[in-house]
Amino acid sequence: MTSSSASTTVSDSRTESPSAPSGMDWFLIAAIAGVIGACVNVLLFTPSELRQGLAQKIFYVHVPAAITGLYFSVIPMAIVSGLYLWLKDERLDRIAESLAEVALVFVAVVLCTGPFWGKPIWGTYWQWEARLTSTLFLSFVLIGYMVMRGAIEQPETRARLSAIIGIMAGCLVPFIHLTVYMFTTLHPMPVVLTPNFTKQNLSPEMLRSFLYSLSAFLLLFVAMARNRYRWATERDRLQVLEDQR
Amino acid sequence: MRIELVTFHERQDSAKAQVVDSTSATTGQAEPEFRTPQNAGYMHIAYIVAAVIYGSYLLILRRRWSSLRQRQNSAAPSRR
Repeated sequence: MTSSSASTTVSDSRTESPSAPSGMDWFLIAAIAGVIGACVNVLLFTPSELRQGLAQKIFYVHVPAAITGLYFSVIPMAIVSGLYLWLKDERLDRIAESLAEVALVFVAVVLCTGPFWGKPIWGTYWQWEARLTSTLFLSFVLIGYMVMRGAIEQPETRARLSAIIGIMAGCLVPFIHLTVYMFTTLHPMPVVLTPNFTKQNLSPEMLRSFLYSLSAFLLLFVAMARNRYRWATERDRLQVLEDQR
Repeated sequence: MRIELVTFHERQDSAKAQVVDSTSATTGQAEPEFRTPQNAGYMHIAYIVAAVIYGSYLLILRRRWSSLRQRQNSAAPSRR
């Protein structure tokens, strides 16, 4: 993803990072290939569900994106934000910033693919019920997080306020998970992350494809967050150099 | 005589193949109890939308790196 002219950017050896990216991000490319492979596996080699037909295959994008975006992205962002408030380490702020942005991408995929599954099965694209509305609210919190970061110039103030919003976003995730148990919702109960994990509702072929998709989306998430974090590190290093001039 | 009415996708899961009498299939008097809905359009749109979102973000990341490289290149000569 990066140009090859990266390594000779700053002549000051004290600020040169040993991990500065100097070429293609092969990890990200491998993750993209994994996701493409997972989609091919789902579309061509995974049986379709009897009652829902092909629309059920949206499950293999919608649910992995939701699990990754909420449980592997927003909750770690909240934990890292809390650690920042304690340790005041700017690397933690950069990690939280990267996780929040990638989380927003995954939540956007969840919100955009869900309606195309809901229309043929529920008869409507959208319903203002607890699960859908709370997920939409989470996306607004994440958008607000990004907008707020762009609006505040002072780094410490920006990091502190971002950490507070990040913790608030993390507190939403358990609520979103429990909405289907607490309220009468159109959204179905979880079929994978159930209290009794050993009793699965999926057939073995579907479960295998789902786990493959989940692994691929997790890899994509890690690759995106890693790439985003490296970019933020380079950006801040350059900012320090420009401020010194 | 019995024949199997299966679609391409159903064929991959033989346990779910629909089986009807050939007589009913030709006369249309007795329809199968349930037919799997063919709603591929929604699936295709959802996958395309997901690809567009992920692809757009990857392009944003790529453009950010390019912009950062330009800033770094313009900053480097001035320090020498």
